[in-house]
Amino acid sequence: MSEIILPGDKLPIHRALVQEDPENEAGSNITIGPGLYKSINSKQIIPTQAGIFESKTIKRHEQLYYIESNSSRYIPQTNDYVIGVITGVIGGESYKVSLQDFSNPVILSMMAFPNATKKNRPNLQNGQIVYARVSNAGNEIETELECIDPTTGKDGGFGLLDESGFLFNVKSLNYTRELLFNPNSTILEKLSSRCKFEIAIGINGKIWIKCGDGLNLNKMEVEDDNGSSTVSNDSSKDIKVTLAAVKYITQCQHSSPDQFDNILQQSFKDI
Amino acid sequence: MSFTVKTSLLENSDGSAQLITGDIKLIASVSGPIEPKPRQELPNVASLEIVIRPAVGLSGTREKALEDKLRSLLQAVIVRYKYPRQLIQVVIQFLSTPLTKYQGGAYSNHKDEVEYSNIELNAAINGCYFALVDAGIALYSSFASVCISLTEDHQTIDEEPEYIIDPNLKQLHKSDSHHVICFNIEDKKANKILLLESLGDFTEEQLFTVISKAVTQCELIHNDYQRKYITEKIDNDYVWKA
Repeated sequence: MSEIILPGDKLPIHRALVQEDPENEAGSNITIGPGLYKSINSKQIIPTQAGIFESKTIKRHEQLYYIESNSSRYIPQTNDYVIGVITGVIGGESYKVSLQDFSNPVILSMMAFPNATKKNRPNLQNGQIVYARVSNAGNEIETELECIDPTTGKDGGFGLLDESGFLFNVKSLNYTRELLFNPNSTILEKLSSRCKFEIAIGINGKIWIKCGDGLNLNKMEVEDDNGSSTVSNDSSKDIKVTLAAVKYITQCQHSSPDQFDNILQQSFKDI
Repeated sequence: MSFTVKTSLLENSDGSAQLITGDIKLIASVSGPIEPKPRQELPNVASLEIVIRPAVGLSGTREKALEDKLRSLLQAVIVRYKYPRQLIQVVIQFLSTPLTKYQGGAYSNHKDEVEYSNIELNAAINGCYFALVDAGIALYSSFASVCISLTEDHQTIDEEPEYIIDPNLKQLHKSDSHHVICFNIEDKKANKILLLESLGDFTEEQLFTVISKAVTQCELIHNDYQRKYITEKIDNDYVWKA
């Protein structure tokens, strides 16, 4: 079931609610997701965003409703996977992290890293980027991140993203969600036919990608000094491939699936 | 009443829309929720910053007055409790207005400046709606606005006055009064008046006629234009979906 809903429209769930109520005294449980809002005064569930209305049954008597829509401004929610840029240190205890330009900064505690203790702290510099999970988010409190997988206590893929990769922004947040969560998405699969890559997708609209061995700047400098150019060539090829991959990923957000092969070819034509 | 709209045309703002209606062309952009300056921060709701820029010259008292009217409207439709201690920035840039079209001609005297500002307000409201939806800002309901002028024939007293929907500048000059009415729209029906700006001479009875005409017009704008352009926008947002 999918239909386009505008703010103020009547939701198809009201009918369902009324029908189910008499049978089940407690009423069926409803979970509302993004785009829906329970009005404080009228206690009604109203749509607040324009998008595609989705409804899913999680369990018996438990319904999930939300509005699937695109936006460019990221609003942190618990358990989101994000890429943040370190912008400062607060009180020597935690880092100040920017998730998006002009958004409120979020906090990344120095203790929220695997094996971190009072004595053994991570050493991150301003401008470095981390892949993290939103551990605590809410309107009234400051958002917190962590770089540990809560189930194992290990890094679980989170942590510092090194400088051998390339970070770029994507405007449509729905597109980053598609890349990260849809296992049937062909976009990255097609890219893998052209190059070897490592990717970190933050649903705050930031993507970090490393193609081949990555951009190893130190290695290039050393080779230049020695006058030999073999490794340097390798590295500059990786830079080209990375930029082509970035071009491919950014262009795919504005085109239909049948164009993907074409864009891939266009992006990689000089390599 | 007719207009054309293009959404998401600005790369660096969270939501934007270009609206062309009659002689007026404008771009509305919305950024938010973003980090406010300390003096703008409100503890429990989102603060609004509204900036209106004229097509020609610097913004003055006329733009400030427009900003205030727009603010009173937006405060009522944005779910501000959802974004406490955050800022929503709305910028309206006029690209062309009736004044720029007739500039230097017979219409550029002081009296006109007061008159056309209300049709600018009408366009600004409609443009704002698309930009807010594009930015994904939570709204209590949709809203649409319409401008209606009424012209009385002074020779025949008992005749009904002539009502013109979305008048142009020439028609505004001949009119006795004009009104900008904004309705909130719930479940495809006009529900409450969010804003009513009137200028000129009119009777209570005439005002009620204008309002009842505005109801059908606002519903028409919502069902024919807003729905069409937003469906287009959503299709565009999901082009990559197989």
